[in-house]
Amino acid sequence: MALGWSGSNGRVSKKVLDLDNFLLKNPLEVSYFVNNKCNLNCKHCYVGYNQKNGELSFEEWKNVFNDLINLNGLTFGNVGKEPLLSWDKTKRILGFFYEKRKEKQKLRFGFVTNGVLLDEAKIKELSELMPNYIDVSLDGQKEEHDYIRGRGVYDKVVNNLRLVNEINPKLSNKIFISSVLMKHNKNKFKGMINEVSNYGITHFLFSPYVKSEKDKTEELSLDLNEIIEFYKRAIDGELFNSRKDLELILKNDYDTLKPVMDRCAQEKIIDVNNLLIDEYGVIFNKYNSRGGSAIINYIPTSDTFSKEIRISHDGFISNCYAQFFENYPERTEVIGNVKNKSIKEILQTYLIH
Amino acid sequence: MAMGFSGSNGGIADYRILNYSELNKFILRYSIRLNNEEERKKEEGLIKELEDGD
Repeated sequence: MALGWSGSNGRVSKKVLDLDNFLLKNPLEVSYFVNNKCNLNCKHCYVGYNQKNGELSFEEWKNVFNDLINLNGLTFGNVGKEPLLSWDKTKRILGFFYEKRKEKQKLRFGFVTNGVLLDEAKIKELSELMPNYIDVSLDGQKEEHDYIRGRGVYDKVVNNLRLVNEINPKLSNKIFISSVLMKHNKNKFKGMINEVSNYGITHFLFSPYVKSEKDKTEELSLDLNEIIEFYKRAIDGELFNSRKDLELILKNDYDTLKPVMDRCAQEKIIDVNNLLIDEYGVIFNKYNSRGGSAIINYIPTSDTFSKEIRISHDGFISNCYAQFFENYPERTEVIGNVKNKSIKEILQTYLIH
Repeated sequence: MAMGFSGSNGGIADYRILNYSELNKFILRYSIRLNNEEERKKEEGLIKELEDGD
Protein backbone atom coordinates (compact mmCIF):
# COMPACT_ATOMS: atom_id res chain seq x y z
CA MET A 1 0.00 0.00 0.00
CA ALA A 2 1.03 3.55 -0.39
CA LEU A 3 1.68 6.61 1.61
CA GLY A 4 0.38 7.29 5.04
CA TRP A 5 -1.02 3.87 5.79
CA SER A 6 0.14 3.87 9.33
CA GLY A 7 -1.88 7.00 9.95
CA SER A 8 -0.74 10.33 11.23
CA ASN A 9 -0.29 11.68 14.67
CA GLY A 10 0.10 15.24 13.40
CA ARG A 11 -1.83 17.90 15.28
CA VAL A 12 -2.43 15.48 18.13
CA SER A 13 -2.62 17.39 21.34
CA LYS A 14 -3.54 16.95 24.97
CA LYS A 15 -2.73 13.25 24.80
CA VAL A 16 -1.79 13.29 28.45
CA LEU A 17 -5.34 14.16 29.45
CA ASP A 18 -7.70 11.30 30.13
CA LEU A 19 -10.57 10.86 27.76
CA ASP A 20 -13.22 12.36 29.98
CA ASN A 21 -11.20 15.51 30.47
CA PHE A 22 -10.46 15.80 26.78
CA LEU A 23 -13.96 15.27 25.41
CA LEU A 24 -16.53 18.00 25.59
CA LYS A 25 -19.13 16.72 28.00
CA ASN A 26 -21.48 14.35 26.15
CA PRO A 27 -21.83 16.60 23.12
CA LEU A 28 -24.97 16.21 21.04
CA GLU A 29 -24.99 16.56 17.25
CA VAL A 30 -28.28 17.87 15.99
CA SER A 31 -29.26 17.76 12.33
CA TYR A 32 -32.52 19.36 11.33
CA PHE A 33 -34.64 20.01 8.27
CA VAL A 34 -35.81 23.61 8.14
CA ASN A 35 -38.23 22.70 5.33
CA ASN A 36 -39.19 19.72 3.20
CA LYS A 37 -38.94 21.32 -0.22
CA CYS A 38 -36.27 21.51 -2.87
CA ASN A 39 -35.65 23.34 -6.16
CA LEU A 40 -34.02 20.25 -7.70
CA ASN A 41 -35.24 16.72 -8.28
CA CYS A 42 -32.10 14.63 -7.88
CA LYS A 43 -32.01 10.99 -8.90
CA HIS A 44 -30.25 10.00 -5.68
CA CYS A 45 -32.28 11.94 -3.11
CA TYR A 46 -32.85 9.74 -0.05
CA VAL A 47 -35.78 11.62 1.45
CA GLY A 48 -38.87 9.45 1.16
CA TYR A 49 -40.98 11.45 3.61
CA ASN A 50 -42.96 13.84 1.44
CA GLN A 51 -45.20 15.77 3.85
CA LYS A 52 -44.56 19.43 3.05
CA ASN A 53 -46.76 21.09 5.66
CA GLY A 54 -46.34 21.66 9.36
CA GLU A 55 -42.98 23.47 9.38
CA LEU A 56 -41.86 24.63 12.81
CA SER A 57 -41.82 28.42 13.15
CA PHE A 58 -38.65 30.28 14.05
CA GLU A 59 -39.95 30.70 17.63
CA GLU A 60 -40.57 26.96 17.91
CA TRP A 61 -37.08 26.20 16.61
CA LYS A 62 -35.58 28.69 19.05
CA ASN A 63 -37.26 26.93 22.00
CA VAL A 64 -36.09 23.51 20.81
CA PHE A 65 -32.53 24.74 20.24
CA ASN A 66 -32.37 26.48 23.62
CA ASP A 67 -33.41 23.22 25.29
CA LEU A 68 -30.85 21.26 23.27
CA ILE A 69 -28.06 23.70 24.12
CA ASN A 70 -28.93 23.16 27.78
CA LEU A 71 -28.59 19.40 27.14
CA ASN A 72 -25.05 19.88 25.71
CA GLY A 73 -26.10 20.32 22.08
CA LEU A 74 -22.94 21.66 20.43
CA THR A 75 -23.28 20.91 16.72
CA PHE A 76 -26.29 22.12 14.77
CA GLY A 77 -26.59 21.31 11.08
CA ASN A 78 -29.43 22.53 8.89
CA VAL A 79 -29.41 19.59 6.48
CA GLY A 80 -32.51 20.00 4.40
CA LYS A 81 -34.24 19.81 2.44
CA GLU A 82 -32.92 22.90 0.69
CA PRO A 83 -32.32 25.58 3.36
CA LEU A 84 -31.83 28.43 0.87
CA LEU A 85 -35.46 28.07 -0.23
CA SER A 86 -36.44 29.26 3.27
CA TRP A 87 -33.74 31.89 3.43
CA ASP A 88 -35.46 34.20 5.88
CA LYS A 89 -36.00 31.45 8.46
CA THR A 90 -32.59 29.89 7.80
CA LYS A 91 -30.93 33.27 8.26
CA ARG A 92 -32.76 33.90 11.54
CA ILE A 93 -31.74 30.49 12.84
CA LEU A 94 -28.12 31.04 11.82
CA GLY A 95 -28.30 34.43 13.55
CA PHE A 96 -29.60 32.74 16.71
CA PHE A 97 -26.62 30.35 16.72
CA TYR A 98 -24.25 33.21 15.91
CA GLU A 99 -25.33 34.91 19.14
CA LYS A 100 -25.21 31.65 21.13
CA ARG A 101 -21.66 30.94 19.89
CA LYS A 102 -20.54 34.18 21.54
CA GLU A 103 -21.51 32.66 24.90
CA LYS A 104 -20.45 29.10 24.12
CA GLN A 105 -17.41 29.07 21.87
CA LYS A 106 -17.47 25.33 21.17
CA LEU A 107 -20.93 25.58 19.66
CA ARG A 108 -20.74 25.10 15.89
CA PHE A 109 -23.36 25.45 13.21
CA GLY A 110 -23.74 25.20 9.47
CA PHE A 111 -25.95 24.02 6.67
CA VAL A 112 -26.11 21.80 3.62
CA THR A 113 -27.14 23.23 0.26
CA ASN A 114 -27.17 22.34 -3.43
CA GLY A 115 -25.61 25.78 -3.97
CA VAL A 116 -27.90 26.90 -6.78
CA LEU A 117 -29.39 29.83 -4.86
CA LEU A 118 -26.16 31.01 -3.27
CA ASP A 119 -26.21 34.54 -4.70
CA GLU A 120 -24.34 37.74 -3.93
CA ALA A 121 -26.83 39.01 -1.34
CA LYS A 122 -26.81 35.73 0.59
CA ILE A 123 -23.02 35.49 0.43
CA LYS A 124 -22.76 38.95 2.00
CA GLU A 125 -25.23 38.03 4.75
CA LEU A 126 -23.38 34.76 5.39
CA SER A 127 -20.14 36.71 5.68
CA GLU A 128 -21.68 38.49 8.66
CA LEU A 129 -23.02 35.32 10.28
CA MET A 130 -19.93 33.23 9.45
CA PRO A 131 -21.30 29.71 10.02
CA ASN A 132 -18.68 27.12 10.96
CA TYR A 133 -19.35 25.27 7.74
CA ILE A 134 -21.35 25.28 4.51
CA ASP A 135 -21.69 21.93 2.74
CA VAL A 136 -22.21 22.40 -1.00
CA SER A 137 -23.12 19.37 -3.11
CA LEU A 138 -21.12 18.47 -6.20
CA ASP A 139 -21.35 14.95 -7.58
CA GLY A 140 -18.41 14.99 -9.96
CA GLN A 141 -17.79 17.28 -12.90
CA LYS A 142 -20.39 18.80 -15.20
CA GLU A 143 -21.52 15.62 -16.96
CA GLU A 144 -21.87 13.47 -13.83
CA HIS A 145 -23.32 16.21 -11.65
CA ASP A 146 -25.92 17.32 -14.18
CA TYR A 147 -26.89 13.70 -14.87
CA ILE A 148 -28.02 13.47 -11.24
CA ARG A 149 -29.23 17.02 -10.57
CA GLY A 150 -30.35 18.44 -13.92
CA ARG A 151 -28.93 20.30 -16.88
CA GLY A 152 -27.01 23.49 -16.15
CA VAL A 153 -26.82 22.94 -12.39
CA TYR A 154 -23.06 22.30 -12.29
CA ASP A 155 -22.20 25.58 -14.02
CA LYS A 156 -24.49 27.55 -11.71
CA VAL A 157 -23.00 26.01 -8.57
CA VAL A 158 -19.38 26.39 -9.66
CA ASN A 159 -20.07 29.99 -10.65
CA ASN A 160 -21.53 30.61 -7.18
CA LEU A 161 -18.45 29.04 -5.56
CA ARG A 162 -16.31 31.42 -7.61
CA LEU A 163 -18.50 34.31 -6.42
CA VAL A 164 -18.09 33.31 -2.78
CA ASN A 165 -14.31 33.42 -3.20
CA GLU A 166 -14.46 36.82 -4.91
CA ILE A 167 -16.67 38.36 -2.23
CA ASN A 168 -15.15 36.73 0.84
CA PRO A 169 -12.28 34.20 0.61
CA LYS A 170 -12.68 33.45 4.32
CA LEU A 171 -16.14 32.07 3.58
CA SER A 172 -14.67 29.79 0.86
CA ASN A 173 -12.58 28.25 3.57
CA LYS A 174 -15.77 27.26 5.40
CA ILE A 175 -17.10 25.35 2.39
CA PHE A 176 -17.05 21.57 2.32
CA ILE A 177 -17.77 20.11 -1.11
CA SER A 178 -20.08 17.24 -0.40
CA SER A 179 -20.12 14.39 -2.90
CA VAL A 180 -22.11 11.23 -3.23
CA LEU A 181 -20.01 8.38 -4.47
CA MET A 182 -21.83 6.48 -7.22
CA LYS A 183 -21.12 4.11 -10.06
CA HIS A 184 -21.03 6.78 -12.77
CA ASN A 185 -18.85 9.29 -10.94
CA LYS A 186 -16.35 7.21 -8.97
CA ASN A 187 -13.49 8.08 -11.33
CA LYS A 188 -14.41 11.70 -11.89
CA PHE A 189 -13.53 13.48 -8.67
CA LYS A 190 -9.93 14.39 -9.37
CA GLY A 191 -11.02 16.87 -12.06
CA MET A 192 -13.72 18.30 -9.81
CA ILE A 193 -11.31 18.81 -6.92
CA ASN A 194 -8.80 20.40 -9.25
CA GLU A 195 -11.39 22.82 -10.60
CA VAL A 196 -13.02 24.02 -7.39
CA SER A 197 -9.81 24.18 -5.38
CA ASN A 198 -9.04 27.18 -7.60
CA TYR A 199 -11.76 29.00 -5.62
CA GLY A 200 -10.14 28.67 -2.21
CA ILE A 201 -11.92 25.44 -1.30
CA THR A 202 -9.87 22.88 0.59
CA HIS A 203 -12.41 20.51 2.23
CA PHE A 204 -14.04 17.61 0.41
CA LEU A 205 -16.49 15.16 1.91
CA PHE A 206 -17.45 11.83 0.34
CA SER A 207 -20.15 9.33 1.24
CA PRO A 208 -21.24 6.29 -0.74
CA TYR A 209 -24.70 6.34 -2.24
CA VAL A 210 -27.25 4.46 -0.17
CA LYS A 211 -30.18 3.12 -2.10
CA SER A 212 -33.59 4.16 -0.87
CA GLU A 213 -36.96 2.47 -1.43
CA LYS A 214 -37.71 5.01 -4.18
CA ASP A 215 -34.82 3.78 -6.31
CA LYS A 216 -35.90 0.69 -8.24
CA THR A 217 -32.68 0.45 -10.27
CA GLU A 218 -29.11 -0.60 -9.58
CA GLU A 219 -27.56 2.04 -11.81
CA LEU A 220 -26.18 4.33 -9.09
CA SER A 221 -25.12 1.84 -6.42
CA LEU A 222 -21.54 0.73 -5.96
CA ASP A 223 -20.80 -2.67 -4.57
CA LEU A 224 -18.68 -2.99 -1.46
CA ASN A 225 -15.50 -3.76 -3.43
CA GLU A 226 -15.89 -0.60 -5.51
CA ILE A 227 -16.39 1.53 -2.39
CA ILE A 228 -13.29 0.04 -0.77
CA GLU A 229 -11.31 0.60 -3.95
CA PHE A 230 -12.32 4.28 -3.95
CA TYR A 231 -11.42 4.68 -0.28
CA LYS A 232 -7.98 3.20 -0.94
CA ARG A 233 -7.39 5.59 -3.81
CA ALA A 234 -8.52 8.53 -1.69
CA ILE A 235 -6.25 7.55 1.17
CA ASP A 236 -3.32 7.09 -1.21
CA GLY A 237 -3.73 10.67 -2.39
CA GLU A 238 -4.80 9.75 -5.91
CA LEU A 239 -7.54 12.37 -5.96
CA PHE A 240 -5.08 15.15 -5.27
CA ASN A 241 -3.03 17.18 -7.66
CA SER A 242 0.02 18.98 -6.35
CA ARG A 243 -1.67 21.09 -3.66
CA LYS A 244 -0.59 20.25 -0.15
CA ASP A 245 -3.41 21.67 1.90
CA LEU A 246 -6.48 19.72 0.76
CA GLU A 247 -8.50 17.54 3.10
CA LEU A 248 -10.73 14.63 2.12
CA ILE A 249 -13.22 13.19 4.57
CA LEU A 250 -14.68 9.76 3.91
CA LYS A 251 -17.82 9.85 5.95
CA ASN A 252 -19.57 6.74 7.17
CA ASP A 253 -22.95 6.49 8.83
CA TYR A 254 -23.73 3.74 11.33
CA ASP A 255 -27.26 2.83 10.26
CA THR A 256 -26.61 2.57 6.54
CA LEU A 257 -22.86 2.08 6.11
CA LYS A 258 -21.87 -0.30 8.88
CA PRO A 259 -20.88 -3.03 6.37
CA VAL A 260 -18.54 -0.52 4.73
CA MET A 261 -16.93 0.33 8.07
CA ASP A 262 -16.61 -3.35 8.98
CA ARG A 263 -14.89 -4.12 5.69
CA CYS A 264 -12.62 -1.08 6.11
CA ALA A 265 -11.63 -2.39 9.54
CA GLN A 266 -11.00 -5.84 8.09
CA GLU A 267 -8.72 -4.39 5.43
CA LYS A 268 -7.02 -2.03 7.92
CA ILE A 269 -8.27 1.05 6.06
CA ILE A 270 -9.80 1.75 9.44
CA ASP A 271 -7.05 0.83 11.88
CA VAL A 272 -8.75 0.30 15.24
CA ASN A 273 -5.36 0.18 16.96
CA ASN A 274 -4.40 3.66 15.77
CA LEU A 275 -7.58 5.64 16.18
CA LEU A 276 -7.87 9.32 16.92
CA ILE A 277 -10.77 11.10 18.56
CA ASP A 278 -11.70 14.76 18.42
CA GLU A 279 -13.18 16.72 21.27
CA TYR A 280 -16.72 16.29 19.90
CA GLY A 281 -16.30 12.50 20.04
CA VAL A 282 -15.66 11.89 16.33
CA ILE A 283 -13.46 8.79 15.97
CA PHE A 284 -11.26 8.51 12.90
CA ASN A 285 -7.98 7.62 11.22
CA LYS A 286 -5.98 10.26 9.43
CA TYR A 287 -3.65 9.62 6.48
CA ASN A 288 -1.26 12.10 4.96
CA SER A 289 -0.28 11.95 1.32
CA ARG A 290 1.39 14.12 -1.26
CA GLY A 291 -1.52 16.53 -1.77
CA GLY A 292 -3.02 16.77 1.69
CA SER A 293 -4.76 14.49 4.13
CA ALA A 294 -7.58 11.98 4.14
CA ILE A 295 -9.78 11.27 7.12
CA ILE A 296 -12.03 8.26 7.53
CA ASN A 297 -14.48 8.20 10.41
CA TYR A 298 -15.37 5.16 12.47
CA ILE A 299 -18.58 4.77 14.44
CA PRO A 300 -18.12 1.70 16.64
CA THR A 301 -21.66 1.63 18.00
CA SER A 302 -24.99 3.23 17.27
CA ASP A 303 -25.14 6.60 18.98
CA THR A 304 -28.56 7.66 17.84
CA PHE A 305 -30.23 9.85 20.48
CA SER A 306 -27.32 9.54 22.91
CA LYS A 307 -25.18 11.59 20.52
CA GLU A 308 -26.92 12.13 17.19
CA ILE A 309 -30.40 13.51 16.77
CA ARG A 310 -32.43 14.31 13.66
CA ILE A 311 -35.38 16.70 13.72
CA SER A 312 -37.74 16.88 10.75
CA HIS A 313 -39.21 20.17 9.47
CA ASP A 314 -42.44 19.30 11.28
CA GLY A 315 -40.84 18.44 14.61
CA PHE A 316 -40.39 14.66 14.65
CA ILE A 317 -37.32 13.28 16.45
CA SER A 318 -35.63 10.28 14.84
CA ASN A 319 -32.45 8.93 13.36
CA CYS A 320 -31.48 9.98 9.83
CA TYR A 321 -32.38 6.69 8.21
CA ALA A 322 -36.07 6.91 9.13
CA GLN A 323 -36.44 9.81 6.68
CA PHE A 324 -35.77 7.41 3.80
CA PHE A 325 -39.34 6.22 4.19
CA GLU A 326 -42.66 7.67 3.13
CA ASN A 327 -44.31 6.47 6.35
CA TYR A 328 -41.68 8.31 8.43
CA PRO A 329 -43.90 9.46 11.34
CA GLU A 330 -45.17 5.92 11.93
CA ARG A 331 -41.76 4.32 12.09
CA THR A 332 -40.33 2.93 15.31
CA GLU A 333 -37.18 5.07 14.93
CA VAL A 334 -39.37 8.15 15.47
CA ILE A 335 -39.53 8.74 19.21
CA GLY A 336 -41.69 11.84 19.53
CA ASN A 337 -42.59 15.27 18.25
CA VAL A 338 -41.53 18.58 19.77
CA LYS A 339 -44.99 19.98 19.09
CA ASN A 340 -46.40 17.60 21.69
CA LYS A 341 -43.61 17.27 24.25
CA SER A 342 -40.43 19.10 25.14
CA ILE A 343 -37.27 17.75 23.57
CA LYS A 344 -35.94 17.07 27.04
CA GLU A 345 -38.89 14.79 27.83
CA ILE A 346 -38.55 13.01 24.49
CA LEU A 347 -34.84 12.37 24.93
CA GLN A 348 -34.70 11.79 28.66
CA THR A 349 -34.39 8.01 28.49
CA TYR A 350 -31.57 8.19 25.95
CA LEU A 351 -29.25 10.91 27.18
CA ILE A 352 -26.03 10.17 28.98
CA HIS A 353 -25.62 12.23 32.11
CA MET B 1 -30.53 15.95 -0.09
CA ALA B 2 -28.50 12.94 -0.73
CA MET B 3 -25.29 12.89 1.08
CA GLY B 4 -23.53 12.33 4.28
CA PHE B 5 -26.94 12.43 5.96
CA SER B 6 -25.85 14.81 8.66
CA GLY B 7 -23.23 16.64 6.61
CA SER B 8 -19.66 17.57 7.51
CA ASN B 9 -20.40 19.17 10.89
CA GLY B 10 -17.42 21.36 10.09
CA GLY B 11 -14.91 18.52 9.91
CA ILE B 12 -12.49 17.46 12.60
CA ALA B 13 -11.76 19.55 15.68
CA ASP B 14 -8.85 19.34 18.11
CA TYR B 15 -7.97 15.67 18.54
CA ARG B 16 -5.85 13.11 20.34
CA ILE B 17 -5.04 9.41 20.30
CA LEU B 18 -7.81 7.02 21.35
CA ASN B 19 -6.31 3.87 22.78
CA TYR B 20 -8.04 0.51 22.64
CA SER B 21 -9.32 0.42 26.23
CA GLU B 22 -10.69 3.94 25.82
CA LEU B 23 -12.44 2.79 22.66
CA ASN B 24 -14.15 0.04 24.62
CA LYS B 25 -15.27 2.50 27.25
CA PHE B 26 -16.56 4.78 24.53
CA ILE B 27 -18.52 1.90 23.00
CA LEU B 28 -20.07 1.01 26.34
CA ARG B 29 -21.02 4.57 27.03
CA TYR B 30 -22.72 5.21 23.71
CA SER B 31 -24.35 1.83 23.36
CA ILE B 32 -26.31 2.38 26.53
CA ARG B 33 -30.00 2.36 25.79
CA LEU B 34 -31.41 4.15 28.78
CA ASN B 35 -35.00 3.20 28.11
CA ASN B 36 -34.23 -0.11 29.79
CA GLU B 37 -33.45 0.75 33.41
CA GLU B 38 -31.99 -2.65 34.22
CA GLU B 39 -29.69 -2.63 31.19
CA ARG B 40 -28.68 0.92 31.96
CA LYS B 41 -27.61 0.11 35.48
CA LYS B 42 -25.74 -2.97 34.32
CA GLU B 43 -23.82 -1.08 31.63
CA GLU B 44 -23.14 1.90 33.86
CA GLY B 45 -21.70 -0.53 36.38
CA LEU B 46 -19.43 -1.97 33.69
CA ILE B 47 -18.18 1.49 32.78
CA LYS B 48 -17.47 2.25 36.42
CA GLU B 49 -15.60 -1.03 36.80
CA LEU B 50 -13.48 -0.20 33.76
CA GLU B 51 -12.80 3.30 35.02
CA ASP B 52 -11.94 2.08 38.51
CA GLY B 53 -9.60 -0.45 36.95
CA ASP B 54 -7.54 2.27 35.19
